[in-house]
Amino acid sequence: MKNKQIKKAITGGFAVGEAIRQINPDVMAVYPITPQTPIVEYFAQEVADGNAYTEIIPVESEHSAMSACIGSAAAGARSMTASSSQGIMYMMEMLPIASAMRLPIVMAVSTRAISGPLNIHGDHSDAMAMRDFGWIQLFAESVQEAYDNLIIGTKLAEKALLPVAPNMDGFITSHSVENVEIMTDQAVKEFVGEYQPTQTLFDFNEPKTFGAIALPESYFNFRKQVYDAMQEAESKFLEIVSDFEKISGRKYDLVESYQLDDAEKVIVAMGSTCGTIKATVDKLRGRGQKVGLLKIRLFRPWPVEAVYQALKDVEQVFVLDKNLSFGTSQVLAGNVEIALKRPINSVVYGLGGREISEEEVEKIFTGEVRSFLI
Amino acid sequence: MKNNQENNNLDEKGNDDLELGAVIKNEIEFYPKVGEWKTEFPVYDHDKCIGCGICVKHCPEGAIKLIKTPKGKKAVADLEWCKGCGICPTVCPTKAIQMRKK
Ligand code: SF4
Ligand code: SF4
Repeated sequence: MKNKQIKKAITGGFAVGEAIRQINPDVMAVYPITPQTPIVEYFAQEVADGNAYTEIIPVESEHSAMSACIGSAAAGARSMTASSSQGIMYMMEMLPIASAMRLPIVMAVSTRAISGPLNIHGDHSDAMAMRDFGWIQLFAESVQEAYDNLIIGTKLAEKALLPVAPNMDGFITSHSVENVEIMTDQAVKEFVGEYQPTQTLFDFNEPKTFGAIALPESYFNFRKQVYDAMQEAESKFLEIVSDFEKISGRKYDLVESYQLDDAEKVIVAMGSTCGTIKATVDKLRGRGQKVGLLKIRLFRPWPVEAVYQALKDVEQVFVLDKNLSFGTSQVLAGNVEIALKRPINSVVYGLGGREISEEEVEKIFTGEVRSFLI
Repeated sequence: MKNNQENNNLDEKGNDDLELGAVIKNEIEFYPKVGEWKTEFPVYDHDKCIGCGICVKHCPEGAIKLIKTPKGKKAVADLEWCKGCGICPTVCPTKAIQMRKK
């Protein structure tokens, strides 16, 4: 049954903060960094006003933020943080530890360019830098999706026993006001449920050591355990989004197909740019051109089969990366190629917050833009 | 399969009962007594010790405890587990602890 929802005009940062308030986690480790700051700013205010009972830990760095999350999650607390860019780079050491310890930490990310040169604007460089660390990664096109992904992500983390990073585009989504449907506190709380840790530091009857050394005899096996958990996360995600649809009325999948049925030319992309691409697709469809969009929602684990099924009959595939890998092919492009087993057209765009217009998307479809939309 | 010193031989079958997240279920009798590592050990002067318990909280091995004596609570270290790190003398407010060569 679809629950009552309230329409609000808020930014992505506030919407994610509101989702966190509704979940009311046990611990939130906070350290400010643009463009994540509005999430914590909103949430800390809510805690100060008595609208959430979360223990806020104002740490001295992002490395400590993730360390605090790891410690509190190992203790059995539902633990969250939020970060961007250099903050994620600084906590990098702790990220694969969180996944290897199988801790369901949620880190809301407002994606941002990484230095250098110094740049505070949105691209996907930070999210791409952590892509192989055993973190489940979701991408949001809109403020609504950013809100929904945080709730879905929390449940997914606890089902898959892996950390989850719900990503939204820095500034474009985190700081823009959009209309959002906010669920009731009760609906959100019931959906995520009471957190039941599988093993905790505070089990005094069965004392355990967390984060110990694993030598060559077992290290490989523990890494493989994370790999297997990642593989299984895809079906868990599908179960959760189908439950989510029942309470929200919003239907989500691993990927979103937009005008793909008879499409000859398709762009693959993630995040807010998908809105611009949809508008362009509508325009070109109006002129009789068979174009479409494949939007990736679940980026890690990579939904290889869903991508293959969506694109197998498409003549020309253009993959948009908002991140630049030096000396090799681009991340999303490479992943799509793995799914399709044939060459695609790779285009890098939007680095450091450079804007992309409908005209430019049109030029990608016509093949005028090659490799770099610079 | 267990991530501990007792049982580190893994084979394919062993993966089924792989501990979640490399957590070690502590079976304390299997662990090497870290007390063997030390080159120095702490000596507690119970005339100076005021039983504040600060050293207890700082000992990384949990080797120190407070015991009741006629002169009040006093700290003692279990030398089987004390690894001789030298932290306790640096935190003691009354300088009641001194490290001595083994
Ligand atoms: S020397 Fe270190 S290990 Fe030994 S009792 Fe003092 S703090 Fe504990
Ligand atoms: S810190 Fe010093 S004074 Fe306090 S209990 Fe330990 S030995 Fe005694």
